[in-house]
Amino acid sequence: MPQVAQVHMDVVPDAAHVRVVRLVAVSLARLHGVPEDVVEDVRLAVGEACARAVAAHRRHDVDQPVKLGFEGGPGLKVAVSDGVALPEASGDEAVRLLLAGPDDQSPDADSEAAPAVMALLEGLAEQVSVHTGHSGTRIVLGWGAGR
Amino acid sequence: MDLSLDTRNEGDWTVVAVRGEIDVYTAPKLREALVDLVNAGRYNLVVDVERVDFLDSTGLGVLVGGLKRVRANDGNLRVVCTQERLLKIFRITGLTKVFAIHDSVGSATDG
Repeated sequence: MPQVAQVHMDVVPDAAHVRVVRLVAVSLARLHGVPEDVVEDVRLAVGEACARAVAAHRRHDVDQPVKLGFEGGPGLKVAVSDGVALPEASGDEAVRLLLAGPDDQSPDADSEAAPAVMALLEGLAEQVSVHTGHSGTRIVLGWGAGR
Repeated sequence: MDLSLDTRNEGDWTVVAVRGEIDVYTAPKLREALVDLVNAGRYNLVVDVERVDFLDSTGLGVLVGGLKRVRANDGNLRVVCTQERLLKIFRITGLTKVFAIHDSVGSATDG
């Protein structure tokens, strides 16, 4: 198993690329010893975080890439950072802001998924933090390695 | 697009068999199909996700949106799913209380 290793990805905010990110996450989770019965949770939670970031970029017309940082060994920590400026918040309130439209009058279809997102992240990852701010939203997810 | 839909009528029910991954990229295709069915007057829908490999919150949002649309017409939307990894998603998000989840199309279209 490799020692501590970092992988960074810049992803063009296109929904088609979220699947690529999921495949990378699964591959790195296996490489860094995340138990096989948890790898599916990694796929789902990282896909979820990245999908929300990509959707936020599209909703707010932000062209810059979504940034992903993977830190492995042992276990896996994943940070998903977008470039949509939002008020400072954390946890449920941060997720609500992330899923909202550019103004309160124009929520898109994603808002139907809002209550599910935090529940999914918290239900699937062993460590979760979500922070919004003026430089964007940062979602950090973590899983330990098996014994 | 890594999602295919097969729609067929079984009595009063319309069964939408979904195959592939339902995510932020492919979910609009499913949303469009459900909206088209409701617009065509099909208000009793069964969405069969037995051959779905991946479902994220966008997909769940589409199913919830579909349920709201059929209920507005006194219809129903039932889900067929026995895959534990998908059932876990329905459980985590509390949607097992929202959707009737059946273990076969036969059971979903019965009654």
